[in-house]
Amino acid sequence: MVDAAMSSSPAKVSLLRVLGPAHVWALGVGIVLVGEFTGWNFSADKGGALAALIVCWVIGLLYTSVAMIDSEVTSTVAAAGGQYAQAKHIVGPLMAFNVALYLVFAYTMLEVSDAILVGDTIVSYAATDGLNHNAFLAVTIVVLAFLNYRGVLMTLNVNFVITALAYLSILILFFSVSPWSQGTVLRLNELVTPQNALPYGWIGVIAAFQFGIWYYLGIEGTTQAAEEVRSPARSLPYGTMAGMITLLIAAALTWYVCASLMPWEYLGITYYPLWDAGKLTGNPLLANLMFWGTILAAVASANGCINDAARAWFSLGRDRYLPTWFSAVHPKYRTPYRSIVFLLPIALAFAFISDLNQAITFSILSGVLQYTFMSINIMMFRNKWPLGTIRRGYTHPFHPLPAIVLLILCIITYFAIFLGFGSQLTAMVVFYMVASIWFHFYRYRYVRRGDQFTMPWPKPQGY
Amino acid sequence: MLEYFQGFVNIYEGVRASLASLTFWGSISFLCWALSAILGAWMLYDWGVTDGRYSEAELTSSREGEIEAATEKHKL
Repeated sequence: MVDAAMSSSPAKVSLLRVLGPAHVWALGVGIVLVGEFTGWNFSADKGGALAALIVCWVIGLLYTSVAMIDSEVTSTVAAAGGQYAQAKHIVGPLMAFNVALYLVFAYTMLEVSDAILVGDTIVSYAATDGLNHNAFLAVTIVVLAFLNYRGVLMTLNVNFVITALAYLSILILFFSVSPWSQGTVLRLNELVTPQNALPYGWIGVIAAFQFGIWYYLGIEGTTQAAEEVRSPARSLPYGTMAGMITLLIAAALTWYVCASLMPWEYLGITYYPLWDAGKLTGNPLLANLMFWGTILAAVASANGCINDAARAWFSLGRDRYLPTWFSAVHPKYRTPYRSIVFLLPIALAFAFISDLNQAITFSILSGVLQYTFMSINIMMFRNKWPLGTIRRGYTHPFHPLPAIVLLILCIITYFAIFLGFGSQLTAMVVFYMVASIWFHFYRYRYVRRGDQFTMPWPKPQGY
Repeated sequence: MLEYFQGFVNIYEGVRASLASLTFWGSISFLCWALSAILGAWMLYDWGVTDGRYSEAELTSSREGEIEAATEKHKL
């Protein structure tokens, strides 16, 4: 490589295609699985235990639509940046710029939330006076940034192992509490009764949507690996769908065990539903197992988020939507190293100054904005390039039903977020509007307009 | 901006608190700070070396859609 650098014509340095479907699964499930260990349970506080189950199914439908739509578009637009590259080719540059910001915010804030969770969980486990969580936040973010800096293959190999271990901990807990025999350990029929199943009625179910997102938030992150998988048309749909199935099972098992061990009043406020479930079994081995499951899931999520946020930022630089300086690829490790290091102090600063609720609310808001875009995006994609006009790695069924379902569920979720975090929602929308104005009137003049569209597609229908 | 600097004040406070009481968890906490500092410094060092060794044109030569050709030239 050094020899190549010395030669007269500079060598091309690109990201590497080294990943397979298992890595795509590890990226998607790794980012999401932490939501089973904390977060989803706050939906019980909003609407009761049954509301938490209803949103598990309904939001599961939302994310199944996301996974199907994403798989079709990404198997066709296989570029780093994922939904950003999709938006650029299908909708236009301004939408793409906004989508990239959604991605960077969603993943960076989720990374911050994961690091805070790791720190708080360790401090809670240590039960030592004066122990500060800052050291654990810092080491989580810096070690994972280092891993990402050194190469995507090792990063996602690690993610595969720790995600699988965290998932295994849920399965072990489930089978350890004799789920086939209510009354032995589990007491679902006593804890969820017709009187307390929906304590706030159906409005409580709507309010619970906001936290139901946690069951699956981030599965769409698989698309960020599009430029680094060996066979995007096969690996991305396969890894994403397998990930979604994995998560639907994990969500159902988690609800069943937790709702059968804790009253909804407690389930809705604890930060550690699965760890608490492990403790409530009375088995110290299970309690320790769920502690480590929580830590591993949070670390896997932060790891995937660093990977995804850096690639979205890198893609913005590569298209000159941001200074090209950010589009540097490390000649040895083949990673977007400047983007990784640039986002590192930002994540650290947010981790030190914000609390878990603030960080995750901004992440969820950016995520829902992105899902809204996806529902419109797939409609435009099918209209501009109908089936048969370009090669697709995967074609999702029942179009346009998934897109319509996704859009309706996004609207309901906005309403739910407005009920709980109306000011944050408004502030975030204002932020994206200001950023859009900056991009349109100032930054876009630096973009090489012809260079940004790289897909060898025919002209869209109607143009 | 003030909050940003507060973050670094928090780092300092965290390190100081860790050193003041080196119990088991205090030691772990201190090791976490040390590891973070070492890895952070290594990334900055490697970044500087890389930027010095390769031209900016080469480092930013990645183009969307051109990866197939680059992959063929690279030995895994």
